[in-house]
Amino acid sequence: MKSITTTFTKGLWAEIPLFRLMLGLCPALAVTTTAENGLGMGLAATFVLVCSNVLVSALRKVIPNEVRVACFIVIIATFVVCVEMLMKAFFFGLSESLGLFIPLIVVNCVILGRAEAFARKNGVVLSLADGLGMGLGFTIALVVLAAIREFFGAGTLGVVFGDRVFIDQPFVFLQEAPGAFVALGLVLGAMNVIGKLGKQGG
Amino acid sequence: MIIVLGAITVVSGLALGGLNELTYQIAQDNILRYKKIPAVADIYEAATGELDEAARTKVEEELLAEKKLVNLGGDEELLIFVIKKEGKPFAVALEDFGAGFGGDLGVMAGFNLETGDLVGIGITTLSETPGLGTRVLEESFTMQFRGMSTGAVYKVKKDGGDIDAVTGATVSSRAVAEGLAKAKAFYEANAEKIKEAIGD
Repeated sequence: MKSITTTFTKGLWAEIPLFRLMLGLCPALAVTTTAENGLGMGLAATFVLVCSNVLVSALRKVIPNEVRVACFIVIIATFVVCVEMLMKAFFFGLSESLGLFIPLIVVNCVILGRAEAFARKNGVVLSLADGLGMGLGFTIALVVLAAIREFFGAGTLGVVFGDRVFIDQPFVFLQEAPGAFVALGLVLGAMNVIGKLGKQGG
Repeated sequence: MIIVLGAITVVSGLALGGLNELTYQIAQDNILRYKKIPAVADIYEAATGELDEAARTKVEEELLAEKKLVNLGGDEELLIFVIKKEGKPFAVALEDFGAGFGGDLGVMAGFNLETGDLVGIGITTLSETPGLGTRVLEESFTMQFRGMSTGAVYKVKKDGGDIDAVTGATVSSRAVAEGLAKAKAFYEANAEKIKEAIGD
C-alpha cells in the first residue's frame, strides 16, 4: 500500500522530473530564460498534470486498453487548451512570452508519462498526490534552472527584484540554448554530489 | 472502445467551446490593448516624434478611447484608429495581414488623411522565428516606412518594389509588405467612408 505522502514527495526529489527522470527537457530548456517564465510554465504544466491525472484515474475502468493513449491525449489536450485560453484572457503578458510552448505542453512527456505509468493504475486520491508532487517538482526544477540562467546570464531576477540589475556584464552564453544544457549539467552534478553526501552522512 | 473515445472527445469539445465563449471577448480586448494600440502608438510617434513613457501611456489611453468602427455597407465593419495632431485628425490607422513564416503577420498602417502617404507602420501580431523573422520589429526596418509616398510600390526590392527586406528574413519582410499593400488598397477603396466616419 503506497502512502499519499511518499507518492507526493517522490516527485520533489527522488523522481523529480527534468533532473532525475530527464523528461520534459524541450520546454524546460526553451522557456527557462527568466525565472518568471519558468514559474509560469511550471504552474501551467502542474495544472494540466493534476487535472489529467485525476481524470485519467477516475476513468481508468471505463477507458478500453486498446485506445488508452488516444484517450489520454484527448484529455491532456483539452486541459492544455483550457490553460491557453485562460492565460490569453487573464495573463496576457505571460502567454506572449511563453508563446508556442503552452500548446506544446500536450506533448510534454512528463504528463503523458504520469498518466500511463501512474494514474491508470492507481486511485483518484493517489493520482492527485502524484500529479501535485510531480508538477511541483517540475516547477521547482524549472524555476531553479531559470533563476540560475537569468541571474548569471542576464544579471537580473525580475520575478523577485523587478528591474534591479545585479551583474553589469552578465555571462550571456547562459541565456542561449547551449547555455541551457550547460546549466542543466551543472545542476545535475550538484544534485549528485548532494545525494552522495546525504548517503555518507546517513 | 469507439463509444468511449467518442464520448470523451464530445465532452472535451463541448467544454472547450463553452470556455472559449467565456474567454474570447476578454482575450480579444487584451489583443486590442496590448498589441494593436501599441502599434498605433508607434505610428503616432512616427508622426509627432518620440514620446516619454508617461506621454505614451496617455496617448495609448486616448487612442483606445477614440477607436472607431466604420460601416462599409452590409455587415462589413472596419476597426480604425484616429491619430490626432494638435487636436485635429491627422492620420488614420488600420490593420491588415500578410502570410508570414509562422502564420499571419499583422501590420498596422497609418495613412495621412490629406495626402494618403504612409505615416508609419507598427507590427501587431507575429509568430516569426526569434532572432530572424522577428527583426522586422526593429526600427532599422520599420523606419523606412515613415512618410513613404502613396506612389511607392509596397513589395520587397527582390520582387521589384521599394521596400528593403531584412537580410535573412525575406519571407517575414514580404509578409509585412503584403499586409501593408492590402491595408493601402483597402484604405484607398474606402477612403471616403473612413473620412466621413472621422468627420462625424
